[in-house]
Amino acid sequence: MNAPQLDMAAIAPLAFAAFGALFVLLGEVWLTRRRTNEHFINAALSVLSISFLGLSVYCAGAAFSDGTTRVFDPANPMLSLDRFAAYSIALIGIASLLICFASISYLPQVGINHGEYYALLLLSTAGMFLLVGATDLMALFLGLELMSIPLYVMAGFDRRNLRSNESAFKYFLVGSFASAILLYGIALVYGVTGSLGFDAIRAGFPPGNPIGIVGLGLLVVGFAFKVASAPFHQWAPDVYEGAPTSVTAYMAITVKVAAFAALLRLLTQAFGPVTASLSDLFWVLAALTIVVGNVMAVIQTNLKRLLAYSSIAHAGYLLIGFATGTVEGYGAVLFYLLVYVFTNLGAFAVLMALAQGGRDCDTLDDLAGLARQRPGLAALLTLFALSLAGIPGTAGFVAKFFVFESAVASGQTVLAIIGVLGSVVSFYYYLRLPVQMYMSEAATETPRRHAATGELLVLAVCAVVVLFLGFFPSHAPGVLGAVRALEWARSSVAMLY
Amino acid sequence: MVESGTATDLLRWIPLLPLLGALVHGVGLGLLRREMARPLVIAISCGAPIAAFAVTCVAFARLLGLPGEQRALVDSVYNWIGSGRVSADLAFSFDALTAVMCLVVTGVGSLIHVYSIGYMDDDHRDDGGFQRFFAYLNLFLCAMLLLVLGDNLLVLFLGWEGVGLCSYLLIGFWYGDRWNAYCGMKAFVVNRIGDFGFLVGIFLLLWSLGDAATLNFAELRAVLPRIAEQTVSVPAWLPGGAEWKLTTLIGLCFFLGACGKSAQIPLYTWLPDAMAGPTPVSALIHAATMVTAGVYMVCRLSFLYETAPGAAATIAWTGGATALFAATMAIAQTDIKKVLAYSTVSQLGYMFVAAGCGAYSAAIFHVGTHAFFKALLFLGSGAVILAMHHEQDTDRMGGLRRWLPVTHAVFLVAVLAIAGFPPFSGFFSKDEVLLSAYAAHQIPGHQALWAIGLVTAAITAFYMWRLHFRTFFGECRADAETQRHIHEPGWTVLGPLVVLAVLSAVGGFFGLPAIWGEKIGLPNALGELLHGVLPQPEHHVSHATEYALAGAAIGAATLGTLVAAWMYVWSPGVPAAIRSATGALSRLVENKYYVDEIYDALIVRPLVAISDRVLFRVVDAGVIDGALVNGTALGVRAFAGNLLKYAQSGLTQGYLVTMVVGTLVIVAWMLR
Repeated sequence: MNAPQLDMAAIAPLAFAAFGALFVLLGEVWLTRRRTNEHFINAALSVLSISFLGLSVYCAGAAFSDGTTRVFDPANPMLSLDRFAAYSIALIGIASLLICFASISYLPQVGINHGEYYALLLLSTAGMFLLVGATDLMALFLGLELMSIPLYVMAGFDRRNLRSNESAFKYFLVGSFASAILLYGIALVYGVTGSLGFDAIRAGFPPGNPIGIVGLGLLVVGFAFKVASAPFHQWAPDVYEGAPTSVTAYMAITVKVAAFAALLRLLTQAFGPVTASLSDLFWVLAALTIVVGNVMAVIQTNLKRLLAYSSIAHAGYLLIGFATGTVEGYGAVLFYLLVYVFTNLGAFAVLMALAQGGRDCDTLDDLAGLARQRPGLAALLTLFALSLAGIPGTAGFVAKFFVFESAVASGQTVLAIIGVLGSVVSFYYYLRLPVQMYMSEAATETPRRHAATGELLVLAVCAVVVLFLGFFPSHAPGVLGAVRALEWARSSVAMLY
Repeated sequence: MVESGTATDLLRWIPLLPLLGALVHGVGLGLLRREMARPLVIAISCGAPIAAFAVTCVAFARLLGLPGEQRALVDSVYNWIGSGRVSADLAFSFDALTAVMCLVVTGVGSLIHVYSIGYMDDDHRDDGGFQRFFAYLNLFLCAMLLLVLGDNLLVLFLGWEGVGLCSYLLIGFWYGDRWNAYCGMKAFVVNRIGDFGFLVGIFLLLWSLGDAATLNFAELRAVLPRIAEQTVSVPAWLPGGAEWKLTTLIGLCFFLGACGKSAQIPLYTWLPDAMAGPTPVSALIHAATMVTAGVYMVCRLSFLYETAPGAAATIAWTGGATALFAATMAIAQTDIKKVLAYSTVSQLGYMFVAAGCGAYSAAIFHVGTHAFFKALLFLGSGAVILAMHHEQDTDRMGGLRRWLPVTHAVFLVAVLAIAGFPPFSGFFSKDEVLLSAYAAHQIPGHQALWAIGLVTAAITAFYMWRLHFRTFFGECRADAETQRHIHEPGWTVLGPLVVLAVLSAVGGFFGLPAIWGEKIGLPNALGELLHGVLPQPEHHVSHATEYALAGAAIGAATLGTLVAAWMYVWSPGVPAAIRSATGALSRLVENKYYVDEIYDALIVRPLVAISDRVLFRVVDAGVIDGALVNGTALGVRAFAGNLLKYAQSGLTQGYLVTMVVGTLVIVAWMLR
């Protein structure tokens, strides 16, 4: 009997993230015995995590430009590193890495600089890497849980804060419920096909079998929960509001990327032949999510809640791409995710830079007078708000244009119109941010702290990417000519077929 | 690819120069954290539009040197959005239509920048208000130039949103007053309704063109005949039956966008409130340039409206209705800027009448002359407001010609122009508009439209003279202290006024209609310039009729003038007598027909009520702010119990129920 031929390169990003988590845990123990400066420990652990995530991103980048598909165990294909996985891993890895940067100063500001934060973050990121590379329902479920369980803990990371506790508990309850639904879906699909691997399901899925259809429906519902699509969105505002801002950013950004990417792979690779029949379902989910997200965001006064509904609305725009079911539509989804990561991360990073003295900046009133006190942060938050709203000249506009255009191209004009309507409404609530910052005076003249280096770095990266993709989405002139974001997104999707 | 013109690198500099000005100001403010030296600010911010004007002139000269009717310059900077099916360059094209718009925007824009130096001089806030103002103004100019230079719908839309954003920033510029911030917000939100139409128009166009989808104007013009005869089914209760021409539907979508930007019924309510901004902003954005963007877009898409008679008729009649309605509202206003705001809405209505009637060059002619005399009126009123120490109410003015002879003289020129007296510019352009309505047989009820235009002309003359008399004639109604300080403003304010006065006086000769031009041997330069770009209406009107129409217009203007003179100069007691005689009616007019209140009651309040009572209290109960936080008062021990009790019997359970129901519905629906 031969030893299994394992391709270690296929799990390199995953391995770096997982080992990173272990190193962080060990490192914390080691450091606390020698040092007493909490800030130093926090910064050191953050740099350690960033290094490991950097290695993951590097591996993913190499795999992306290499373009070949690596399967971890060819005899039993459960996990692969292909162009699509590499794209998603790079996106998730960069987002996590930037959140680590911003956390260096954020955690001490709100008084939660405990080392296990980074370990949990890395573990959850490892789960996401597994999720987007999974080509087998078992690996998929494993990735989903590995992603979710550390998140439940992270949501409650501010353990002295009631809201944080409730956030964690609620997320855990509803999250387990969704996992159960998903697992039931997996069971039913296994029941009708007798296999868990995507390729085998694709070959053996009986089109008309009601049990199979129910299983597929439950799988979609499970993911709809993870991406906070209406009507499975209600947990998101509560959880986002209660969690510390850096965790909210992490949940709102990376989880969405991972879940959408995994759903995309599932729908194309495992259920490709029957995906067309889901178009109507995604149509309804997209329309409902756009309407609910945008309408509810209008009345919010809490910033994190507002951004939560905003992220629900964005999930709706992303679902438009799924309703088209075309390569262009899915390509637009991947491009949208790229834009979504940097725009949202920028907005959240500004909020993190505004946290001070044990308090999060989380209501609209906290922004009053910011333009006078911190004109740079105000200008950046305005930029990110405009990009979220989709003003031309920012990445947000281009992303929306591609998604809506793909909908129009596949004949879903009405859905595109609903999307346009939603984004028109969204201007109203995104504009409330600059209004507060530029046109209101601060109630108290508490001096605001200066943003730390890590936060500035994240803000600079996000601002540059948002403007760059706004003006050069498909290719750039001069030395940056190699940057072809849209092409990368399209080619990543195309390889799934 | 459709051959679209001669390539050049010149055009990109026209929007780039103001952008650089704005960037220098913005970066300077951000890095230095205080205002730069004022002479430097002035040099940069006024130098940029003047340089852009110079480049425009050079481009214009190059354009005139090109042969052929379809002459145009193009400058493709790079491929902006290349998504396979649809591709859009960041590209500019400079044909006769763009040339006229660009000259007006940069020319009038430069004058207003110079004027702003004097007007904003007393802004000494510690947040760099002076420099910030010019940064916004330069940014606005950049966006406006992108709008008129763009060679495809996406670049136009980039500028379209850019001008909206700058307009919003500038309306709320004096944000110390919360009302100003509210007005800026209102302008932006109302405009978004229009933008919805614009975007839907774009996507409908892409959808209907299928494989030939494009956003480039030259290519659109070439491929549009493919869909010119297609129809779509619409609800049968809509006018025109259950089948509409596709181009009509698309045309109406774009027109909704134009309605928002150019303040037409039903989206005009933001413009009067936009007067909260500084007066140079009102002159530049809300009179001369941005609000004419809708007219420009309709003219740019004239090839679409030529195939969409239903949309064209809607445009003409919306324009006519807005012209009359807004003019009647201007009658009873006492705020000097509000009168001018309603007047702008009314004049924009004229432009849409012409555009709807197919006389696109007449519409552009009126855009140009209106830019001159309305900018002059606003800047003149700004001079008055400065002299009166930021007093805008004409109830506290009067007799100002004693102190402000120059301002009075230039204001008089502008009033003569807008009232439509020959040979001032407004006469010729308004005459063209009225003629186009009279001759447009394809528009249902075109003669009634002409009559409405004529009545509006009389009312226009009346309210403009009323404003003039109440401001400059009679006894001064200001208090003695204010009277002692009234004086003419400095040269940076008066200089632009004089230049604009000259343009308002002679601007009409650029586009002199043939019946007058033949007499004095002056060609219709504007008409010939635009001939190859815009479709020309087919007039079948004799010279005698044309003279009669012009005579009627002069008669209407004279009538309005005489009534105003009677009421406000010869028998000053008449207005009060009329007001008491027509109590309810005059209150109705004074309160602008309560349209704002009606919108508020019908749309705003129900929306707020729904979000507040239904969505906020029921759907999104703000759980974390509710029961649980109250529970904290009971202490940490109570908290644990509370949390568990709450989490298991409170809303989380509700969430789970929703999830189960949602799941069941989806599964049932999939099994159907």
